[in-house]
Amino acid sequence: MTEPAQQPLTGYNFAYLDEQTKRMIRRSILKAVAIPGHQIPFGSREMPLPYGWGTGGIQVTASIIGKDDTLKVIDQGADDTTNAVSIRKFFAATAGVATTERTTEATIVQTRHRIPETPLTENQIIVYQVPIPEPLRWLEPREVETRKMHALAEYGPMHVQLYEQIAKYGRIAASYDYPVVVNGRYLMRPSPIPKFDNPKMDNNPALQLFGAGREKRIYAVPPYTSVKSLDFEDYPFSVESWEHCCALCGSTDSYLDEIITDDRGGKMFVCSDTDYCTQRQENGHFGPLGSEAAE
Amino acid sequence: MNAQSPDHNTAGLDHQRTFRLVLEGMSRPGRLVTLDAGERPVAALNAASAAVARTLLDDTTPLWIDPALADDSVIDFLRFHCGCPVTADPGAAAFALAGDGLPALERFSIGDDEFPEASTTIILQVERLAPGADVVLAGPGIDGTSGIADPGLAADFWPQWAALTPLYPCGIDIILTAGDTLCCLPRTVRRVLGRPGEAQ
Repeated sequence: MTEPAQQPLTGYNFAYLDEQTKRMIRRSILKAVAIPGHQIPFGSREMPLPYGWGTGGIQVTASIIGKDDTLKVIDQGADDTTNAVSIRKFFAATAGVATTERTTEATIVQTRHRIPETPLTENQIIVYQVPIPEPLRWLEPREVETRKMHALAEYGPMHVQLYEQIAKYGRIAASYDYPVVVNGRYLMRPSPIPKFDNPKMDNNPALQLFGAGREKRIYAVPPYTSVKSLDFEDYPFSVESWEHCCALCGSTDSYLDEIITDDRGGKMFVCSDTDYCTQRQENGHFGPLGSEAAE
Repeated sequence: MNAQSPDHNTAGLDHQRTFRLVLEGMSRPGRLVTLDAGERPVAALNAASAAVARTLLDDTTPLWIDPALADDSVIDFLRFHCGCPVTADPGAAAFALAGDGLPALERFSIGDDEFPEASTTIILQVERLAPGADVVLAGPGIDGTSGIADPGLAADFWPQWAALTPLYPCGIDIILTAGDTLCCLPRTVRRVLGRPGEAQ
């Protein structure tokens, strides 16, 4: 579903933020791109929605978006959840831009906690909403210390944490927000995407921007940049897999959500990426509970 | 103001378009990016330098300007559109505008290990920006290698650039401009041997 560009609301600057703020954020974005994975502090503004609802991502999007852009917003892969719908409406109202649910038609994809299954292209920018940007924060609460650790590339404690998980659980137990090293230098939080999505960040043709509103940080991964998930030689990084296929589209290689369907233990597995699932069904792929089976 | 002044009713949208092109350049080093046809040169400033300055500079960004570029109309332009303080110390500048009078790169700020972003971004006017293979680049943002024709940089530029590489994440980011075209050299970029398009 694609909504065409429209006349923006009067009384607001284009894309809500004032030009001075955009200029400041744009300078931070350029520095972030020049130092891949390094967190750049910025003067995060109050936005007309609470912290935790994507204020960082919205400020980044507001600073890059133009009249000719087509915006897609997803929350956990879905285009039709409250957060995604609200942010899409926000930019349709304040910037008058076209919005879409189709990954292939978007020039900017703002996301909370997923990377679309459909591969991104050189002509797209993906903007991540980030709650906690500092990968070392749960290991070291003091900003002055984590800043030193980044300056010295002192990332041993993160390896120790992963090792402790192996010692305790027999495997690396982190399943989302799985730490990565960008361009062989900076340890970075990929935001709470499932580790299933981590390999998509590596050498991606699209520019990846990250905005943390409450924590006031912007960081970036340029296109064609190495993003390596931390691991050990004898415990290599691996992603989740499922015994099931998507109940609706039959996909066996997408990230699946488990949906409880009744109170007697019934459940189904469906694609978390709603656009990907819909496209597959429109192209004639169906799972055991897909609409063709139901008919 | 004169006829070269941009229309203030559309300034915000102009800045957005220019920024996106600079962002494209900075995230894809070595790619030649051409600005909108509406951009005009201002005295010794080429159209791209003027557009980038209007888009990125303001009263929070001290500027160092090459004396060879700094005639009255350029200073008036910067004062009116950017309101940026002008500093005589390259090391204190957030941005620099330079041409043939580019000082040694070590005189600019490269940031420090904790705040590598506190560095100078140089808008550097060069003779030409054209596709080619005289300068071959590699690094983040480049799929293999990319190349441009010799932009006519001073002979000691590339040795100075290579000397900054080991200092990463500290370093200097450069926006090369010629006419209405720009091409970026973020600090992660290395000049390499070989031909454009080859895998590194």
